Amino acid sequence: MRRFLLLISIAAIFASLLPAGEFEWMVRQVSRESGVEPMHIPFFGLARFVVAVDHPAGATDLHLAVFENTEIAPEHFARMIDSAAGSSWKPMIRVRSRNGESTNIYLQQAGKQVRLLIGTLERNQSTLIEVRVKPEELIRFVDEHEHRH
Amino acid sequence: MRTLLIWGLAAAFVLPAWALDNNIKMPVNLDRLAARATESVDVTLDASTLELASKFLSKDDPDQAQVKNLVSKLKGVYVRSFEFDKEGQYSLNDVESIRQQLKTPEWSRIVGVKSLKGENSEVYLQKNGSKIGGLFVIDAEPKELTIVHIDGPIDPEELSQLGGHMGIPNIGRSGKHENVKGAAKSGNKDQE
Repeated sequence: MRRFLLLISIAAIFASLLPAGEFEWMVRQVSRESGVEPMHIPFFGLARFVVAVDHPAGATDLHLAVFENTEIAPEHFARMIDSAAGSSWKPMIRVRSRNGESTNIYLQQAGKQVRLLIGTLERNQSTLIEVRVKPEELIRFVDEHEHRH
Repeated sequence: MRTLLIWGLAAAFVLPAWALDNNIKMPVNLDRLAARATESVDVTLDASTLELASKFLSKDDPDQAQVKNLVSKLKGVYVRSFEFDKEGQYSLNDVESIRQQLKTPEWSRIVGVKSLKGENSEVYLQKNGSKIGGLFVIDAEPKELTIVHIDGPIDPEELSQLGGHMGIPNIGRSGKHENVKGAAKSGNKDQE
């Protein structure tokens, strides 16, 4: 029993020293900058499981963080997401409006897949999304979606 | 805005090589316009982004192969668009520095439209021998300014083939936007 507890303790210490996932790190950065903690999203784990199994629109993994009551100017928000994302993410699209909305999309290669990072600010609610997609399946999805409309 | 985002994403995966190149630089004052605009859009697909996108397009899928072929030749794509709530928020001097850079022998203005309503459009082509080496569009309206730069060889025929894929609207030979059914019909007519 003592050996078991010792092992657990060592594992816990090592776990705390391990670097957090990149997305979690970005969430913490945004949280620190904005002073707002991300809200809890019920059943989001289930949503991630469905994405991992079903690959809707070519997505194979999904992360989401929502921050409510973030009183940030769009310019500041864009800078904040830039800073959190770092240089490994390629900024691709930026949309900014004077009514306080901002959308920033970044791209990164991940082996045979692509990671998209989307940071949005709308009516004092900011959202950070990271999705890993199979590009060819995403293209097929967009094609089919367009043909239906 | 949603359409624009779809276009942007589509472009990222469709056009593999569009970057600001050919010594054309967006003037710094365009960034300042963003502060005055009610909405500003900045799409930047540089050579490396386009190269990355082209890697993921399949050679085996005919549609994707077409896109891959087109995109693999491009060096970059830039879009800057600003919408203003009232007139006079920008002057043509704001884009004059770009226009000056296009006044070189390799660039030629092929379209210049001016209207009394203040809607001015200019299209420039970069000549690369007998081929098109790049395209630059300046669309200045009283409350809207859009600048598009496609850097790299462009074959208009190939470009039209992209219509109907990845969110890119179908442009018929008449130049009118067509839906998929319309495109299919016009295709049948061509065959007839």
